[in-house]
Amino acid sequence: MSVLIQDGRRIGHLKWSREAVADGLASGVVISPFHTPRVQVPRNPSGSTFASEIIDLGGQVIFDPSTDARLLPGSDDLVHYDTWQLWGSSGVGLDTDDRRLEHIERVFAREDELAAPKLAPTLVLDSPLGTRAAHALRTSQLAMGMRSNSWQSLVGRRSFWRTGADLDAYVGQLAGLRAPCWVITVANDVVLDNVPDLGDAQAFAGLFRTVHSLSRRSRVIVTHSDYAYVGAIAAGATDIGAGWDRAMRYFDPRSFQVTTAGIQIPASYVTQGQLGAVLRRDTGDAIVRLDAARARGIRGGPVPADDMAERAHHLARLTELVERIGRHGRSRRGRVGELRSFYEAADVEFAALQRDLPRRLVSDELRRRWIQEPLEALKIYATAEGLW
Amino acid sequence: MDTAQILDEVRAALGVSDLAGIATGGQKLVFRSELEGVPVVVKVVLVPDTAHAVEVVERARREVELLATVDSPHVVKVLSEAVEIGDRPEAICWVEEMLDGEDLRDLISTFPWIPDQVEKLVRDVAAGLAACHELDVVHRDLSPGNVRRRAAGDFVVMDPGFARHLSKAAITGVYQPGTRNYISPEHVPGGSPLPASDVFGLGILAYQALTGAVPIPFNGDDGDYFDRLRNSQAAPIRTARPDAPEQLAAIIDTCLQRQPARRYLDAGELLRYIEEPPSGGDDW
Repeated sequence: MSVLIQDGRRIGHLKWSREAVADGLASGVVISPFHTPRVQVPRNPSGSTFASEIIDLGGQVIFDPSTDARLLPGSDDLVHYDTWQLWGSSGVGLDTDDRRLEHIERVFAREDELAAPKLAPTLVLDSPLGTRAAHALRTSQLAMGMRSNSWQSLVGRRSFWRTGADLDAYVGQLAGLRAPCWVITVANDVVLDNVPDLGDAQAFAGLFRTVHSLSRRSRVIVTHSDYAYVGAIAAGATDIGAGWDRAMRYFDPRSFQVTTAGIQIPASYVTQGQLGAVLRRDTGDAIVRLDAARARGIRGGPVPADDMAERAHHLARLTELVERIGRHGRSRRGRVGELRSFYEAADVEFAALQRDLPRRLVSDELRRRWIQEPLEALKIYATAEGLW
Repeated sequence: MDTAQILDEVRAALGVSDLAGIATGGQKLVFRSELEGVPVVVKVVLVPDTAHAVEVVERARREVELLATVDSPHVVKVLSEAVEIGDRPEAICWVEEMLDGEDLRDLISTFPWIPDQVEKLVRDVAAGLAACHELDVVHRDLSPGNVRRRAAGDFVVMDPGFARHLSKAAITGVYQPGTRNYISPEHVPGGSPLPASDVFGLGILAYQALTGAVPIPFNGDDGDYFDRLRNSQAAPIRTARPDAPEQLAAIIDTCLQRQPARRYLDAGELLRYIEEPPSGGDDW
């Protein structure tokens, strides 16, 4: 069980990632062609430098070709992306075998350069039915035909994860590929803040059900997860992607667009490990004023003195939770029970804080989005599986 | 040509003796005959003079091609190539081995069977399907009419007439074959039958052989039947047959998982499970 650091644009990304891997706060990194160039440019190391430094520390490197993001309407921040030269003469897209084959060959070649596993590209899916789903499946089939040990990607919006029996039938086709690893992503249409949005509980129950199905035979990694989709670990995933900026924690279409108004840096937030939440620093300070010892317990460590400390604190608390769930090994019942206990205890603590602090600091919405909605999605999934 | 003339041409083209009818329903005629003194089955598919003619010929050719490629004692053997009769053509025919014994369809009245008999059914049919699945071929119409128990007790998979070679899927279009009571959730119109769909079909046969009833019965209403196939989970076999051995029950329950990813993905995986069941129990 581990946390992987998603790629980011900030200048210190390689240094911070290296330190986190060296300190055991993350098991590796996910490199994105949108955020890391293939060749070194001022203030950005090359992908191969990034990869080799992490590998030298014993960390894992995954190159996410981010084809799903590239093919989103509006993805036009291609400064780094184009240095990877991931498309052939037949053009950009996964709608013909020529394009698929050229693209997969190039993606695999770049992954060879980085000594990364061969992770195949895919499309963002709205539905498991129809042309796009067929194109994604065909892409996976071709990739498996080219490299039988290749890893596969599955990226879906909420509408995709919500489709019940159609989703299950599609996942059956995917499982039949027998990929050794599935890298799964929840694609958001828009990310407005730094708080999870699992309001569509049926969709996330579908996500967890899919993780359950695919993890029976394969390793499953859920990218851009952070605290939001930690339920995937309970359902059988081995790793989740996380980070310190919004675009690392959530799949945010704006992070692939030049119109993005700068990097969204949660500089004034502090991770509260016992709550499974990242709250504003002034909320953390209010808890300290209420009861310093209690605040330390809720936080799970000393007050992070600066952003560097908060980055490490965040990864440490998230890794603790992932490992706590993972201690139940191949017992999903145990994993689900562990996370349920965590959420229920966090909800009690949230309620207590709501009694003790002004609602503007610990609102019902925060409690709902950090704890109650993820718990509800977990409950729907686990109840259907007979694990609740 | 009328049918009698077609059959004369069939005899001459295949080099077989007189044809004695076994089944003559629909487009497909099945006869008992002899080839060089050996009892054989002759199959004749009448090709309609319609826009579907090409598809009928392709389907029959595919069946023969498939049977000629699959090498398993648990899949009926084809003894000739597919031969076209007439210029249009008006029919296509071939020779298969004659199997002694009885179709499972004729043995339903003997259900429920003891677990040992059902284990033999599962193992043999899985072996036959595994030979198909190794070639990326899905049977798609596994039912009691397509499984035969030979006199020596071995089971053989027959008549993969609707079998689909996964790389030739375009031929079948949107039509989904299958026999009510014996289809998988993926057979519901709009779905895509997989090797795991045949595994589901084998689960139905085993469930019926062990209990005398099918797990998700067809009640005459396609809509209701399809909805239950897609959205409901078959009850564990031990609710109907509490004395079912643990491993056999686990196999049947796994075959009948609603979600294909939760089943054995193909018959080869099922066979491996039968031969080397995992030690210890977990809920993974």
